[in-house]
Amino acid sequence: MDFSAVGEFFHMNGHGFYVWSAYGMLAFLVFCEIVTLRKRRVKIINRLTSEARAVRDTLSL
Amino acid sequence: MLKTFNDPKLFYQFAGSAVKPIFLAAAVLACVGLYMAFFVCPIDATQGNSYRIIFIHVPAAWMSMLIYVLMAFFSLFTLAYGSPMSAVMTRALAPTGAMMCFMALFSGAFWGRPTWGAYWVWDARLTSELILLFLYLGFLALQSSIADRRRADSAGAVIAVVGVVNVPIIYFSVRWWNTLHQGASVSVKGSSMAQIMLYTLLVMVAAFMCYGLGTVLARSRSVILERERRETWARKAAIKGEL
Repeated sequence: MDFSAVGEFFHMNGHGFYVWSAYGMLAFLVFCEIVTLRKRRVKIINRLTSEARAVRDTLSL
Repeated sequence: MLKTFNDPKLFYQFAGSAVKPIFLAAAVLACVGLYMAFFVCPIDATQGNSYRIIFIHVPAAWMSMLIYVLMAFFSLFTLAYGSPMSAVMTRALAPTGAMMCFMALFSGAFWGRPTWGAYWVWDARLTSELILLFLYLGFLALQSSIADRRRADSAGAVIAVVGVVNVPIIYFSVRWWNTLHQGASVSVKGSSMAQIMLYTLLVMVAAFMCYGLGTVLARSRSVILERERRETWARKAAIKGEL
């Protein structure tokens, strides 16, 4: 692979900072949103499961 | 069909089966779109490479408005009928909408600097989009500050319905006022962009839509569980490990 071509790609004719800042922020936010969603789900499932276990006898499983 | 959308348990199951394929579609579309954005689309004659920000800026801006309109739509049902699922959907939509709105402003700032020479100007389009971000943040703050769920739902619904007046202002701002922000490049009548750039943009819009749908469905499942955690169906499913 030609490294000057890779360098040029990231340089973006002088607009690299702007382009990569915008795309970078999007990547960061998508990552954060997915992590937050995952955490929220795990948290409520753990809570629900422990509460359900406490009243297991009343559930007539 | 309607029953699925109005019953928390049925919707929980439906959303659970839909989330993975939708995220997969979003990932595939994003890969194709990003490849087209950086390797197929040529450099722009006047703006250089900075124009490539359009492929995330426009989808994010459209999503921020679309999500707010959806929140207002669901909020009408909350206010009129107190239907439980509409409040769930409004809550599930808000964080993704706020994220899209912030992304539209942020990517716009980093496009404005090389193109206009400034990260920010008090232009009608930019200012009304900033107000939209404040509406989202206001909605989120209000929801988390009211402990009583039903009150939080109706207070949030009022913000969503009243605030929706801002969406047409954002949309038409470039026509009503002399803005630094350019007018619409894409409309029902056609587009003033090069074909390949338009197709790339549309692929990215589809990717953003799938991503938004996926996150909203995934979040709605957590919201449902948070509300239904005392219900028998949720407790039984939890013990069986079927959540």
